Amino acid sequence: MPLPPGLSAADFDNVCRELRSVVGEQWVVTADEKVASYHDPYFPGTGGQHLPSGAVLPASVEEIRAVLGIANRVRLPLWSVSLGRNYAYGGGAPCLDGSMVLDLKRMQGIEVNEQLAYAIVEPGVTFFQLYRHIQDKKYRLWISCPAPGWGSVLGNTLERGIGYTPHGDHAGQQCGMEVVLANGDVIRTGMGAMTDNPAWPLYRYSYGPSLDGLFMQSNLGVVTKIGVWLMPEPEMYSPVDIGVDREEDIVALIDTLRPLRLDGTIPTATIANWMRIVATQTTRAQWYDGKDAMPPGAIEKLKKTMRIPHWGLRFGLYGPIKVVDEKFKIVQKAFSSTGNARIARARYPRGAKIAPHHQAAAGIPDVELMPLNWMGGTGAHIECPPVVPMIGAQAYELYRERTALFASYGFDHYSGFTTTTPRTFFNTGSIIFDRSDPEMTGRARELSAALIRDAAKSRLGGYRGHISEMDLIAEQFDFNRHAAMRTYELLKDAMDPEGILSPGKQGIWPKALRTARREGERK
Amino acid sequence: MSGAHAMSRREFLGLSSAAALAVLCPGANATALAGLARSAEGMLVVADHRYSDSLIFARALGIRGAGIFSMKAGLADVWFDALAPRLAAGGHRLAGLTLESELFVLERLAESCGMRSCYVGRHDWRARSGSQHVLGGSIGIDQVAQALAGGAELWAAITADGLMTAAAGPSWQERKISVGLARAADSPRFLVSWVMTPSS
Repeated sequence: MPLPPGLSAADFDNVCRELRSVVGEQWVVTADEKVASYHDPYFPGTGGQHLPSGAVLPASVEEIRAVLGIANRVRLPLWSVSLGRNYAYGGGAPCLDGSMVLDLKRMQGIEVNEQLAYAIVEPGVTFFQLYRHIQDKKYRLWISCPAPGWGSVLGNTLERGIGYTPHGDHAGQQCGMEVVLANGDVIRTGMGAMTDNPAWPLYRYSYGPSLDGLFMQSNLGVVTKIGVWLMPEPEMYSPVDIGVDREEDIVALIDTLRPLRLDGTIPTATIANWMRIVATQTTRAQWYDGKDAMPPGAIEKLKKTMRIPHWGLRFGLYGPIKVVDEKFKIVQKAFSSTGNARIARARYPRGAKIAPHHQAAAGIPDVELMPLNWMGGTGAHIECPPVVPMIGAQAYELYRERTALFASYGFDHYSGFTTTTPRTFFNTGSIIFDRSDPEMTGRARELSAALIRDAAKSRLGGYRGHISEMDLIAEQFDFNRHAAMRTYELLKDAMDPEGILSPGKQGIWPKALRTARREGERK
Repeated sequence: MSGAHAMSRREFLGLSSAAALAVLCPGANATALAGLARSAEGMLVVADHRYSDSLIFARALGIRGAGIFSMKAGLADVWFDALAPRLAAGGHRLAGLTLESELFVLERLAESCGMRSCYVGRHDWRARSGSQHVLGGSIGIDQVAQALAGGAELWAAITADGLMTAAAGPSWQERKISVGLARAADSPRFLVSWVMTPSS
């Protein structure tokens, strides 16, 4: 394992001894086999990059403050993770080699208020834990969760992750935060700035500027609690599937969806291409054994045999039974005029058992990763979804460009358009590869970078990305000579002068490393 | 092994537990078979109901006393309702012949119960002919490889049997073998056999 930058082996031993005195002997991890669990499992030790020196696991805010005190004194870089399960984006691995992982999984506090429909969670709480807590207490509340749901509620929310219920924009449902700053100070945002104010998890703003956004996808503090709004259990949940057969049908599909999304008839919705639909049911080798991207003929044969559309739009309708049924009539009328759309619907009154394939949009977590088996071997994926305006022609053009790019690198195009906000999509484009094949892994990385650059040519930027591509993604945000990044750096230098918190996250480096990196680039 | 060589998957799944055990251990007398019928007690086996080879692997361990857990209700339910509480109590091993994604998920979930893989076999039929098997583990991997190579249609049962009899090895070793084993018609072209044990 690499040592933290600037520390000798003896220095590091001394630091670990100090850290153990704070968190306890077993909660400082330096043995190779245990530290390996923080490597990015999809790119394990690629090129010797993104390797941590160890991990420290505090159990409380007080322990975090003490750890930060030590880290500031010896300039020990800490890479904060809640659980480290955002695997397509790097898992628990740090941007900077030799960083020590600040693993917050021991902090598992949950508080749920049924009356006002919110929860306050600590970093170690998984979506499963929150879901089961609510089930056990028989609260009439739903969570929203990503797929799979084994990650941290707090971590996913801070990374602006998504789910499939009307609360699918997770960052949009966050209200109130507790943060430990690099200097050890503890702040509460929003109404929480007033001691014991009951509106902390209820009203997002405060008196004065809003601070919460500073700590999302950020390295300006360590978030130790957040409030998340929950959804009251609806009287009726009715998932709707709409399929169209031709690639170009996506234009009408999106242009029909948009007004219904804007007026609130349809909440969060996802459009999946043929591969995203079929990869949950089968593997590539059962249909095609060429090394190149599947040709159109093979795709058509697969679609016909598996009876799947080229595009599938899925969303839920929620609310009182009469309202849901009326909404469905509106949906049916709108989409029946878009060519050959096939519309299917299920109805789940409160208390009904929900079929497995409809559970995601009901906030029921799972751990299925079937699409990873698409290529066979040891499956992995990487992606950097751009944010795309909800305009049919624009989405179609982007899809065609990206399909061609995927094919030029020998990959099938796994694509989805998820609308968690009413005016945009996240265009997920997972590159699924066999990580036991070094050549294919290399191609996947090259394609990922090419997709980021290609999207930027159309002036589209990623909302999230892998640790190895955070600098590249950040570079694309270039307005006024990267004025946004200059502002982030201003804040970083003021709030974390020793540069100990997650160096490099989202392309934001502390001053000392920034200068060294830029000098390195010039050479 | 000659009985297993000649037998089809369907025939094997139709046998009683005692008869199936006798097929896998043809030389064993009644006393030995009675002992073998309990040799996998405490082992928990995950079975993917979609694939015959996965069911056969599970059955081969089930006839030795292992508990079999179907993934029909979904991996999350199997894990949280059945496997996690048992593993948390200690003294168990976990095994399966599954898709790679299930191993990926279970390795990470089981880590929280102090479990780690001591054997992983990757069975690959993606090439146009034959099959490739990469077996790795801190057990007597040569023994498993030898058993697998002679497995014929019941390769999954023979592999499970080989895992039960393989001795613990000093360190992680890997073997790659190319043979012409027949996967079941309903199987995907890539499966993973695996065993997890409590990490010391």
